[in-house]
Amino acid sequence: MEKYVLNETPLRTSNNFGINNIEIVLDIPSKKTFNGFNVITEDISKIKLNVKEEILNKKGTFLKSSIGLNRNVNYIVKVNIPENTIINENIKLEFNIDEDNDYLVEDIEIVIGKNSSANFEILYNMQEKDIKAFHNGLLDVKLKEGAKSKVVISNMLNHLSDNIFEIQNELSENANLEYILIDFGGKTKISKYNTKCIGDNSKNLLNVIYLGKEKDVIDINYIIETYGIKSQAYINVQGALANFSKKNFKGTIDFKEGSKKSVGKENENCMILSKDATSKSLPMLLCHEEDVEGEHGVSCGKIDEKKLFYIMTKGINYNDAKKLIIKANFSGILEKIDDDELKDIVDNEISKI
Amino acid sequence: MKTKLKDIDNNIYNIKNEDNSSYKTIGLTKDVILEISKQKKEPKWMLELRLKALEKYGELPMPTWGPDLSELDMSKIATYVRPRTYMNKSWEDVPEDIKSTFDALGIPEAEKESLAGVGAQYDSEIVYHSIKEDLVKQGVIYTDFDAGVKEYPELVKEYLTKCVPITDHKFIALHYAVCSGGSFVYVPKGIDVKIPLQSYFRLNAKGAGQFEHTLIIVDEGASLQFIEGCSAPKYNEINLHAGCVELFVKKNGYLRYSTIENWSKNMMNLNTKKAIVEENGKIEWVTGSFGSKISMLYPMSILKGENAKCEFTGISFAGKGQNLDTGLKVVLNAKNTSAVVNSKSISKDGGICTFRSNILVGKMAEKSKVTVSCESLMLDSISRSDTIPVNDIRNSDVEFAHEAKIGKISDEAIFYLMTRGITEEEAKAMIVRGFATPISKELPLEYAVEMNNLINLELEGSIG
Repeated sequence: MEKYVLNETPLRTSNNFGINNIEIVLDIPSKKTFNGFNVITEDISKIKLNVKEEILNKKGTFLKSSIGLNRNVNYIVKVNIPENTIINENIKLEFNIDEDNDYLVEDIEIVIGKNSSANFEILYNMQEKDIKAFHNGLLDVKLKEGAKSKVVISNMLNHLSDNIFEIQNELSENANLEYILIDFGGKTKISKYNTKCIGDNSKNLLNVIYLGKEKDVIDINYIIETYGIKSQAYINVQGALANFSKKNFKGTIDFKEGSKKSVGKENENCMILSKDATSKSLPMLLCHEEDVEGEHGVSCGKIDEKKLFYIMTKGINYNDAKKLIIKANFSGILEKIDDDELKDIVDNEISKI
Repeated sequence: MKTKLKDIDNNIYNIKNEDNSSYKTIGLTKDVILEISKQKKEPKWMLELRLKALEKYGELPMPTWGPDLSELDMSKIATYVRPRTYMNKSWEDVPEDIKSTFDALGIPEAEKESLAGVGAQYDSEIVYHSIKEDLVKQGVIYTDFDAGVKEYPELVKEYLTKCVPITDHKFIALHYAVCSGGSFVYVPKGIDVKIPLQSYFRLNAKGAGQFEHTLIIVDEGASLQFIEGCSAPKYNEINLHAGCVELFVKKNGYLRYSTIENWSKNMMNLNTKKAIVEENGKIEWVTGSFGSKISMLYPMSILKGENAKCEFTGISFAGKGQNLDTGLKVVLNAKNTSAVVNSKSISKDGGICTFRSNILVGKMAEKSKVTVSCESLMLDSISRSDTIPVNDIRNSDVEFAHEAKIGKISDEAIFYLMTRGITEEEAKAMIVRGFATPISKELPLEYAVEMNNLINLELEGSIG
């Protein structure tokens, strides 16, 4: 067990506010092999896939991530979509975590070539409820000129596990990257997301749903930086906090000098379902360019009692009415998931809250 | 095509008088503090407080966030500068050079026309103080802080440091160690002070610090409007302002605290303001930050009693060489409390405006409501405008909404105005003035005029 200071914000504010970083005690297990990976794609010949188990060297790749934690990598996945390639069906990268595969520190690298298009589902599945797993992932996505991608990430670890996840994206001219991040699993959820919209007309849309239950600790640090002209940056986060869960949301849109005509919007809506849950948010707008449009909004509170009452007058009990409203708040993002099986899993998890 | 805007013409504010101070201390040591205390002939408990604060100053760290304060060298700052006069009750008795400075700033004129009392501080001491006789008869106390310590020691001791403790941060410890001047106001139960009181703080001496303490107690059911103004001429050396404002608004009380700050652009303004508001009380902050090289100013409201309310309306205007890191803090700690925040900022010519806030809704603050709105206007791309709000919600039964916008002057709005025969330059100027209107309309007339003058001076420009 060791105490770590992780997930620093791009700009510091007063230490008294307790949001510049997160201080947390983690029990990081020793490196083990991981054999729970599976890839599903329509045509493997269309992509260049390189999977490597980092098992021989126990010391492994021991690099500090920008979250601030040393990473002893045990699995590497590299996917390269060549230029001018269109992949119609989602490429699924499945990591099945179980008793024998309870340590996962993976590097995933995705490169989508010029004018290519491919969508991904990255699934962290876990069935067992009574084992503790450790996950510290790093996803690196590069979109070349004119490339397009939608990436759905589903974190379904159990509530004994620790989930640390970092995403880095780099977008070239006219690239378009959309994320749907379903961040449900783990008693500790620490995530960092950083997109650099380097090319002109590049676009990044990040949609997130988080759920906090029991004594979950959630620390979210999303950053989109605009460098190119007419870049677009959108962060849309919907969450619900139950029981004694605690959440820090740190969202930053950073307009760099020269990113003229860029647009950035950031929104977080947090439903607090328990009097003991706490929500901290820091929606930052950093601006070093005159000719941009930026806005952010944060709303927070309990479920609207008028809505609850209306639904209950239709004969639906309190708990079901509450779940309906939570699902309705999340529906804008859930509708973007085109995998019905995953949609059902997500729907089922929301019902458990 | 760009609107080129001039820097604020500080002719009025930039009047430099010869440093004719009768006594001065430099730096921050125990001896300096003993000397200040001796000069002031103050009670022992005040000296003990100063020495304790000095100790804390040594212990507390410099901020690890915000603007760079490395240029500040406390060993060079004149921590106490006594002007060659004592407090006067008539402007005629104030030395001519000091009086003419306040004349130019319009203070005696404003006193005649629209104020119920005035305090004028020059460097480290109040040089003029007045209050209307009818307020004195009603039991209202408005005097300089040092007089408050001597004449109302029990009342001052009861409240001093209770709102802003000496451990709050490094510069508040510094403040308590060397504090001098400022105002002490007590409004008794049920008294409505209909005409505002005003204190004006003028720092004339080169390389000096001003550390005035303002302590205001608005008792149950009472109300007050208090105006604070501050300015200084520009020098090449760093000047420092580390004042402290402690406000107590009792049950059903009301206080509006308005500030127009136009410090010179060599000033580090590290001021601390805090209010404790009890049941059904209300604090309103109206603040305009125009001057200083660096400002770190975040007025704080602690809503302690049920139904306590806070309204914050503020504007910052940062030009060349300025880094204005301003905002607010609100702690909602009782049922049905509410806060409404409306903040605006304009940055140009490489100026940096940062809005920094912390809203904390505590476990006790059921049925509370918070609305925060901040808008930033960038007039060029060499400037910066950052919004850094922290929202800490520890209660489910709360309505909380925060929104912020950042951008330039709308091309469509300029085009619309130009189709009505207005030049592009005037169209842009109108839009900037309109942007600031929600703030200026909240100010007392004289201060609204002053603020508009400051903005108008900026807007006399040409299109290039």
